[in-house]
Amino acid sequence: MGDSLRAGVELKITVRYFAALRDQRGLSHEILETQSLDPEHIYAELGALHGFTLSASQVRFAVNGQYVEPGYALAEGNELVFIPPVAGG
Amino acid sequence: MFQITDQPIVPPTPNCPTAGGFVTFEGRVRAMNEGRPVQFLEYEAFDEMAMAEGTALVEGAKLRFGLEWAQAIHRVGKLEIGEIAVWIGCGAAHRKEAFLACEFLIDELKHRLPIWKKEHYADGPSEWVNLRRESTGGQLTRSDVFARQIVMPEIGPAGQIALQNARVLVVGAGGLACSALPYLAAAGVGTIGIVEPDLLEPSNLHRQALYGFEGIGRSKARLAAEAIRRLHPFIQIEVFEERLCPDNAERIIAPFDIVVDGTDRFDAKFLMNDACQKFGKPLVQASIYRMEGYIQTILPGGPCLRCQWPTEPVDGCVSTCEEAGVLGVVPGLLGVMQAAEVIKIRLGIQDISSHSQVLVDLRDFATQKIVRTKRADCPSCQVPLRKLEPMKLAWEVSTEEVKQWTEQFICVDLRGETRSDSKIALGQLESIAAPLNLIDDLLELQKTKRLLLVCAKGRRSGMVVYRLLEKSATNVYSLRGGLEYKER
Repeated sequence: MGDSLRAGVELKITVRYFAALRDQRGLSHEILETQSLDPEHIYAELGALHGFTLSASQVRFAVNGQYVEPGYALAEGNELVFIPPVAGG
Repeated sequence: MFQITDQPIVPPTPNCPTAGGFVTFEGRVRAMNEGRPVQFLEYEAFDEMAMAEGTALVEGAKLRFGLEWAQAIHRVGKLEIGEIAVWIGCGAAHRKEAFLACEFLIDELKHRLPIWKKEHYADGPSEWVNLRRESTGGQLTRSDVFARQIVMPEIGPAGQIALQNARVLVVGAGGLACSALPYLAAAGVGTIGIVEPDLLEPSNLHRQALYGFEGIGRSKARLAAEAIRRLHPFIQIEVFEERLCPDNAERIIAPFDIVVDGTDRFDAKFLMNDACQKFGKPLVQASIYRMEGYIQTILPGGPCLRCQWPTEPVDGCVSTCEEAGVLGVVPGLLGVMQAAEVIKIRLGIQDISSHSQVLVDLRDFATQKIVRTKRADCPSCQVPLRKLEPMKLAWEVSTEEVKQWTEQFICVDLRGETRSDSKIALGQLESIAAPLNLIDDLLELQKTKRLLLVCAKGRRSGMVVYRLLEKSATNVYSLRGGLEYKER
């Protein structure tokens, strides 16, 4: 995971799941201690663990109520939301 | 037999050897209506229902009066002065039955056909008149129907007119649209377009509560139009029984002011996004998934859907309602929120700086706002942000404008008594208190002299002027902001 990992650095963040991702995770939110430092890598980490069907490039990320880029540098205590595409009407 | 046509009516020549008396009636477009010069008329029919009603009436008249021959034709579309709007012919063995039947048919057709007439006046805005209302002598006005919202400070007469002049397109007539449409119509949105190619299926009914099981197999766009037309006569509906696609998107979207996304496909959502950016229209989007959904309004200039999703999601990458399932109240709730958003945009009470997406979860009623940001390299929304201007009305005037008036006028003080401050403020000598029969007396009075209605805040005077204009007053004004208004 290259740059997104810094040896010895661990973040505690809240992760929220929306729509299909909530179903695949089986949770609406959880508190995570992770060495991955951006949304993209945390998503990949969790995706491998829980079998998410969407790749990181198919999902959008919001931190503390604002859309951010996949490589956004997360800070301790951030709230990260995973938002999959939703089309139902 | 009964016919509806958009072509000029050519009176038929009856060929019926058993009838000795023929009576025909022609209803033509006249140049004046209630003292106002008419330029032309537009008739709009709710076709299926009008055909059924019209046919039943003609057949009923034949039986009732023992006619040998009967025919009625109603014209729709744009009609010039002098053109035939309706033609009726009755043939009976003797003249008496033919006369009676002809009169009966014109009265009943006017009374019962779901046909709307729009009068375009030479001296002001056009008006839709429901023929059924008009013929029964009913005096249903917009003020009657919308009174409870006109009274709101956020709406008032100006807001109601803004809604009346709005043209809102709803794309998709599914779960979201089924709750957005009736509230848009009920609020008085003047023109509503509905785009939907599909026919009603039994599996739609649990979430598309605008429809009934008897509509299964019928066009959803038409069923939706029929349902919202029942609400009140002040509505024009345009039905597009086609799927929004790149070939028709611009043609369909361009004539509307605001677009509501009620579709369940990514390709349609991105198509609407691009067309709305191109033509500078606000787009109110929502999508749902089982017990969750989101709503967001995309304004011209972005941030737009492509800022959010630089790579367009492909249909099929996530489950649809069909695959994932959906609780009916979820689109119901989000659709009502879309209607609210449209009304706010139109009234200028939307905070256009926020640009958020609102995630809604019906499990715990939690909502979460996520701020969207504009992408510098977005291909879709690179036009400057347009600010929505609040509506200005010709009949609302400021103190400064009043002082420029050269025409003599009477100041009507609606505060309950005539106080001297209205004279001082406006430099006006002739000032009266509100007459007893407010509307009727003022209608008479404005025929002789211009009236300026004043009150404390300009709301009551605005509403009274609005009512007067509905009753064809021409020389009435309201003091904007009222007598307590201080120029800032």
